[in-house]
Amino acid sequence: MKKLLFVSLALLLFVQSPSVADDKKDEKKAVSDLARDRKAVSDLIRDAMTKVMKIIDDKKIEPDAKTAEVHKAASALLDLPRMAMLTLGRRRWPNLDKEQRKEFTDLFVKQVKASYVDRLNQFGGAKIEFGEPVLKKNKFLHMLVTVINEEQRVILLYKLYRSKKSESYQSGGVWRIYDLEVEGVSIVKSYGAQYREFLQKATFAELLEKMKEKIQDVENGSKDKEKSADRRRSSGDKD
Amino acid sequence: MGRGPFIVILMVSLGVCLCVHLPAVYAQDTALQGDDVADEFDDFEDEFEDMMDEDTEKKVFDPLIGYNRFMYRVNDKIYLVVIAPPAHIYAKVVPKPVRASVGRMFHNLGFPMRFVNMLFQFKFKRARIEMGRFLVNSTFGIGGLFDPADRYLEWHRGDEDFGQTLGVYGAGDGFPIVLPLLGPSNLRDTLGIVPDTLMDPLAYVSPTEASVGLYAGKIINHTSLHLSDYENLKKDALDPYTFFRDIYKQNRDKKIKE
Repeated sequence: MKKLLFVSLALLLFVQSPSVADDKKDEKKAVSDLARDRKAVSDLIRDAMTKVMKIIDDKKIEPDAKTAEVHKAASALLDLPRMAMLTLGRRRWPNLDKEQRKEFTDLFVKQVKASYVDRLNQFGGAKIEFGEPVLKKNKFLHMLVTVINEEQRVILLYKLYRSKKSESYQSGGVWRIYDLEVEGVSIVKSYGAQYREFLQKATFAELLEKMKEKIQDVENGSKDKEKSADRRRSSGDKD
Repeated sequence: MGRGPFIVILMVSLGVCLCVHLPAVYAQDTALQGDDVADEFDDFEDEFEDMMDEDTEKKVFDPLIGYNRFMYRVNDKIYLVVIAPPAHIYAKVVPKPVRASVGRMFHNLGFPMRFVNMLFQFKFKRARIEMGRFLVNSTFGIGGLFDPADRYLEWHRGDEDFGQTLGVYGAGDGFPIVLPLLGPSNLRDTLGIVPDTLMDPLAYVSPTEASVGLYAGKIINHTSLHLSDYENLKKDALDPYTFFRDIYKQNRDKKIKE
């Protein structure tokens, strides 16, 4: 009887010990995975920002080509379709059909590109400080980036998630930006608040119309600016 | 999802080298589709909680909304007609480095207010840095025109005011108030203006005309360094009043958390 007890105990230990070891291994693996993910995210943001700054500061590139290049570099990281989905939220997005989703996403992407990506131009000549990515809610990595020019420090917070969870884990993970905060102001939250408020009183079709109008305004606005700059230049000549 | 192939290509290329420029396919901005849409939100639920849940999607408490909207429109006009045009001219006449210096000088004068509020918030380390910045920048930085403290000592700018102090003490924002000339605010931050103004050297300049002139100069100088910022933000808004109200709140909440 004693022998049996001993054997079963030994067996239990034997069975258990590898599993304990496994736990530790898992823990270690998780830690090294996190370290690798942090490195991946840090590299992604650093590379993209450095590249964007280089494009902005490059005086040889034409303004239009510059915009296109900046868009390209930024799109590699920004998951704008995901942001579009998040702005409408769980309550509204699932009720849309394919066409509506596509149209909304297209308009949202245009709007954000016009207002955020193009505004990166303001950062010309600025110095950039990169923070370390911080794990949030066990699934997101948030990274602080400070843009410093002669008169102010602007704090950007890039929030990344791993798109396609399990399978991409082995390859270092595909991290993409699902939201960006500028001085604490989140793109998803502020656009989302506007859309939701609008939809309380209007239909989705009306929202799409309004968004189109807005984009038109932005495009006209930049043209107006060019025109008035021209005017100013010509009137300056007369003076 | 319809993006499967893209992801595979991506994973491979990422696996090969993270530093390599991402392939063009990554840049496709196509709408997310799929039948399991509800799942797509799961990960993000707690973060944008107030946007996801039907029950919590409550309206913002804004009892003064009628007055606020009116004052927003007044401020909008004042900005576009009275403040922006001189700022544009000033920006053309005075080179940017000079304007940046003037901006730094005004910032330096805000030292007493920031310092005291840091103490109120028990941020002693920040207060020490702020004191150091003021001493170094007032002397070696020629009255704050330059910022050697930041440049050589890594003592970076802080930003505290009494509204934030009240927030740190647990005061809620009350409700939004648009202030004449000063723009979006709320009950808490409006109350905070009183002690902050008492600690502002510009308020003690006499005669009053000179004091007002300095404030005007401060505003024009600041605007000249941020030309078109307001107009650009406004362009994005479906409803500018609520847009700025929301942005203001997010920004203040973040500052209080810091």
